[in-house]
Amino acid sequence: MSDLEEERLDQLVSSLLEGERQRKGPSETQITDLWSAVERGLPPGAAPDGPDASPQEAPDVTTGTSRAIDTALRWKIGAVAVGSALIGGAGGAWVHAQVAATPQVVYVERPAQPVAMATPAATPTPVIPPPPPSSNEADAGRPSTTKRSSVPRGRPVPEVPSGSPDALLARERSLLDMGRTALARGDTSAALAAVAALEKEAPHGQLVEEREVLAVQTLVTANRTAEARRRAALFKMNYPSSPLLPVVEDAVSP
Amino acid sequence: MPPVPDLSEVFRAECDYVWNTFRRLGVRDADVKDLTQELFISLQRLLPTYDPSRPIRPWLFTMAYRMALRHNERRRREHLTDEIVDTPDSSEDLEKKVAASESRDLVLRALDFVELERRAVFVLADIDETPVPEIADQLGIPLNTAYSRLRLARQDFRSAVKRLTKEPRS
Repeated sequence: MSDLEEERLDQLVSSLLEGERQRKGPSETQITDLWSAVERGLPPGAAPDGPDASPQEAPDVTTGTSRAIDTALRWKIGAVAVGSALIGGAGGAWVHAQVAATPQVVYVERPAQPVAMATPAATPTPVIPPPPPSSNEADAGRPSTTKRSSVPRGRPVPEVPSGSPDALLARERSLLDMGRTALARGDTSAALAAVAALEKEAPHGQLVEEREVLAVQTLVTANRTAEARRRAALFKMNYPSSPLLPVVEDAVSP
Repeated sequence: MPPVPDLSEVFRAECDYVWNTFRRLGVRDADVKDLTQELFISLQRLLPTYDPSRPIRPWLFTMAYRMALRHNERRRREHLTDEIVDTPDSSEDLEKKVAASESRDLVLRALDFVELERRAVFVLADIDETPVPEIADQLGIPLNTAYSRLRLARQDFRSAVKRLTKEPRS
């Protein structure tokens, strides 16, 4: 190939790449269909306000923050509290026992900022009283869906039979949310207790990767860096294709 | 620190990008919609872990790359080899590749000739214009490896463009 041909090839490659940078994505119809499909695929109660009839519209930057907060407020989560003794800083074994025990049910605000980076906030305030004592074990491990406020707060949580895969997943979610909430307020003992409870109750559950992320983030926050790195290395080995791997790597990066 | 955007905001702003990224990573047109949908559903769960002080596109790209990797491996196992992303290892394979990809435009066809690990670096660097150190960080590879993959990917891409523009169209 002559120099002239090489030069033309270089120009062609440059123009191809420039054209690719300007490439349009799916059509508006495809985008609308796609968003509908995304909404259908979200777990109950997690569907955010979607793009309206004009999904390509630029976001309203003047209301972006308030929208995010509003969305976060509406994503109430039923978290399992470990009781007031946890807040008092009881030892890990005792905490673990409390986590495994019949929980008291509270609602906490889901932080609008990432859990891992959130500024430690005040202890979540219980907004509903604990449920009356029940002999029904099916109720013991499941957060109540009772709401104090009449304001709609997303889709109702469906009732699931105890022992079903859905019940186990709900339990995993509750413990995970509890751990994340604890980490957000800087309570690493409670967060690790939640991790321990998850390891015990759902060692091969559906949210094992999320549990490990929480464990690594908590260990880093607790300045137990060596343990965090060991756990991160195991995560990388066990889940090399996990979409959460960058999160784990970020957590232990210097 | 800026607030974490919600899912609909990210969807509005980055749907095109995610869609095009999957195509550039060798995902068949017929599967791009499903993978884009899957990514945004996963994103709902992952957004709270996103650091809004950093650009979102390399983060989204990493997710898309891992999904494309799994998707292409699955397709390979299922023996659906019409548009898989391996670099051909013989002239016969090359001919088949050229024939199979006639319907796609030149950039995407040329990208098909670049092995996926190299292609990821190439797309991030030369299309998304992401700095190489950031690419190395996002993909979790050493900086020298990133530069090496980029150099080889550029060679592969250039050779593919040369080849494809000389091939007679059927």
